[in-house]
Amino acid sequence: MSNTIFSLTYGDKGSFQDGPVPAEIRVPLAGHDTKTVKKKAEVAPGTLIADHKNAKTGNMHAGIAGVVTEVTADCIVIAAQEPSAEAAPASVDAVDVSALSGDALTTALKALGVDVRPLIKKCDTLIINGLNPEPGITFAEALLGQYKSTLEAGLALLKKLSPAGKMVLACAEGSAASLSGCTNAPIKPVYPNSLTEMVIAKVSGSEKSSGYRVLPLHTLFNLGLVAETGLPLTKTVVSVQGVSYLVTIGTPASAVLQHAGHAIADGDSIIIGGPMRGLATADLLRGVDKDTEGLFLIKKGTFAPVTNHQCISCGECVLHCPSRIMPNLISRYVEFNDYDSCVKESIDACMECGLCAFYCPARRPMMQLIRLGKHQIALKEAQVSACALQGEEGAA
Amino acid sequence: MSIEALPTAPFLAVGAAPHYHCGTSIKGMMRNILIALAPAVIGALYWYGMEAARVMALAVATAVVVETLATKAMHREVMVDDMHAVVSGLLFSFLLPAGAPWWLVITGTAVTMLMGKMLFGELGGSPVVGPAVGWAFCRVSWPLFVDPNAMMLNTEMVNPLTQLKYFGVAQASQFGLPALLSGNQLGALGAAQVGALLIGGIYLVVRGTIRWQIPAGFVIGVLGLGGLYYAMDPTMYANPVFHLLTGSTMLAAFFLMTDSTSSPNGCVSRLVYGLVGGLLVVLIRTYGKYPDGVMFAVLLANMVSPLVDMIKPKPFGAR
Ligand code: SF4
Ligand code: SF4
Repeated sequence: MSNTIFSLTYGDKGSFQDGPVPAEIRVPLAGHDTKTVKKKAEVAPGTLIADHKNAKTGNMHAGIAGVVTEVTADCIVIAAQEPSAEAAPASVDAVDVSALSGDALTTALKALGVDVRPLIKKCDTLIINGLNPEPGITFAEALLGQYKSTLEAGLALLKKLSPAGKMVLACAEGSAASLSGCTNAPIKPVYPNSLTEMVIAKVSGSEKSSGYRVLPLHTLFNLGLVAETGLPLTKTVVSVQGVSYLVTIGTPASAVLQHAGHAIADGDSIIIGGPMRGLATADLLRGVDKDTEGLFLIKKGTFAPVTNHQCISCGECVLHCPSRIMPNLISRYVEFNDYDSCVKESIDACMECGLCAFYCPARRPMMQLIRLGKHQIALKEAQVSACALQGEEGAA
Repeated sequence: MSIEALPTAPFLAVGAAPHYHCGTSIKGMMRNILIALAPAVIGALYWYGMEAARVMALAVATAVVVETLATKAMHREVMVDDMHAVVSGLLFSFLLPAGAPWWLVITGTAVTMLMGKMLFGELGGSPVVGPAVGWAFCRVSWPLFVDPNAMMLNTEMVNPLTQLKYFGVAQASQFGLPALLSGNQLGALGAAQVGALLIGGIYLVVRGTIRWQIPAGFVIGVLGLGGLYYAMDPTMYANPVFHLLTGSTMLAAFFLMTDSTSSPNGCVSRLVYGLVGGLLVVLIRTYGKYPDGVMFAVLLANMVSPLVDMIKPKPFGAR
C-alpha cells in the first residue's frame, strides 16, 4: 500500500479546470495592516484591498467585482455584485514587469501581490522543486507541460531577482521536463523526496550542504501568472482531491470542494494544503490563499481518530522516519515538557513529513507533538536571547 | 456558469496532520497475532486434548478479568477490547504443561498481567514480556508444577531437553526432525508445537506485524553459538538445530522476543537484541541448571533492550 499511496507521479492531466465563480470571497490576510478599502466599498477584479508594511510581502487584491462586506484583522470579505454604472471603480491597468529590474521590479511585484522574499533569498544554487509536493497534489506534470510558458515567464523574472549563480530543476525521474537555463536533477518521485531537505540532499548529494534553496513550483507559477498578465495575482492553482483548478484567491474552501463535486457532511474534514502536512480547518468558509496547493475532503470514518494512547514501542515510526530520529521517544519527551532531551535526540532534524504518525498503530499524533516541541524550544531560545540582550544593555 | 451558494451547515472535524493513516491498529496487530497462534492452538489440542483446552481457556479468561479489574481499580479507561490481554493469557498458557493445576494457571496469569503490564500503566509501559515474567514467577515458586515432566506422567512423549540435560547427547539425538516439528515432544503445551509456531511466525512477518530482524537475530544466535559448541565436541554438545526445535525457542523467537513494548526499535538494534537472546538461550542450556533457559534468556534480553536501542543511525544532516 505504502508505495502506491506515496507515489508523486500522476501523469499530465491536461489543462486546469476553472474554479467556481464565488458568490463571496474571503481574502485571507497575514499581517496586512493597511486596509485600503472600507466596508461597502465597491471593488473591481484587481483592486488593491490590503497593503503590507513590509516592502517585500505581497499586497492583497480583490479577485472579483463586488462590494466589501466585512473587514477584519485576518480577512476581507467581498460579496459578488455587478458593478454599478456610475460608481464603478476603474479596472486595473497591466504593468509591464518584464521591462523592470532591480528595486523597481521588487516594488512592482509587491504591488502586484507577489511575495518577493523567497525569490531574493541569498543562495548559490536555487532549486526549483518540480515534484508534486505531497501525495494527492497533482499539478506538477501539467505545470511543466502545457503551462511551461507561464513558468518560463516567471523564471525570467526570477533570474533577475535571485542572487543564485545556478538554477536547477528537480524533476521526477524519467520526466522530459526542462526549463531554460536550469540543469535537470532527476529525483525518484516518492514522498517524502519532495520535501525541501530531501530535495537539497538529492540534488547536492550530501545532507550537510549549504548554499542551496528550494522554490516550490507553485510559487514560480504564481510569479509566472503575474509576469504574463502584468495584473495583480488573484488566482492560483489548487489541487482539489487530485484534480487541479484555477481558483480565485479567497474562494471559500467549501465552495471549491462543492464545485468539484464533493458533498460535505457533518464530521468530515477539510484539509488545506497536503494530506500529510496540511491543516484541518474548522471553517467551511476559509478562503484559499496564494500558497494553497491542495484542498482535500476526508469523509468521516475513513481513518481512525487520533488518540492519546501510550506508545507501544512497535518501532514503525523509527523505521519510517526519513530523518532517522526516534519520533516515539521525542514525542514522549514533548509530552513531559523535557525539551533538553528533545534537543539531544535531534528534534531539529525532523523535516515534518508526517510519516511517523501515518504508520503509528496507536494513532499517536507524533508530528503534532514534535511541531509543538520545536515551537516551545524556539520560544525558550527567543526568551534567552532577549534576556542576554537586556543583560548586555544593563552592563553597558 | 452560475454563482454558487455558500453553505454553513455541516460541522467539520479537525485533527492533527498527517490526515492519512496506514490503517493499522493495536487491535489489528493483536488479531494477527491470534491468527498466527491458531495453528499452535490446534497442535496443542491434538497432542494434549481437553487438558490443553482447559489451561488455555482458563488463562485467557483470567487475563481478561484481571486486566479489567486492574484498570478499574486504577480508574483508567478499560481497554481490554484491544485483545492484548487475550494474547498475553494465551501466550502464558503456551508455557505451561497441559496438566498444570488450575490455581497455578490463575496465579501465573494474574502475575503475567499485573507485573508484566498493569504495574506499568496501560499497554506500552512494560520493560519486560508479561508471559515470561509470569512463567519465571511460577518456575521459581512451584518448580514441580511448571515442569512438563512432572505434570505429564501419563504420557508416552519424552522431553528432549531433559534427555539432553540428564542423559547426554546420544539420548537427545533420538528425536527426528519430523517429530520435533510436529510437536511430538513433551514440553509446554504451546511452545512444543514448533512447526505450527514457525508457520505462525512467518505469517506475522509476511503481514508486517513483526519485522524479521528479531527472529533472525535470535535464530542466528542459537544456531551460531550452538554450532560453535557442536563443532568443538559433537559428543558433548547437541546439534544446534536441536536447540532451535526444542523447548520454547521458536515461541520466543517469533512471539515473545518480538513483543513490541520490551524490544528495541531500530533495525540494527533489533538484530543485536535478537542475537543476545539467542546466545543466552544456548549459554543457559549449556551451563545453567534449567533444561530450558529460554524464558530467562528472554527476560535478560529485555534488560539489554534499552542499551541496544542506543545503537542508532546519525540523524539527517549529520552524515
Ligand atoms: S515527521 Fe516524523 S517521520 Fe517525518 S521526519 Fe519528523 S519525526 Fe521523522
Ligand atoms: S509507531 Fe506509534 S506505537 Fe509504534 S513506536 Fe512509534 S509512536 Fe510508538
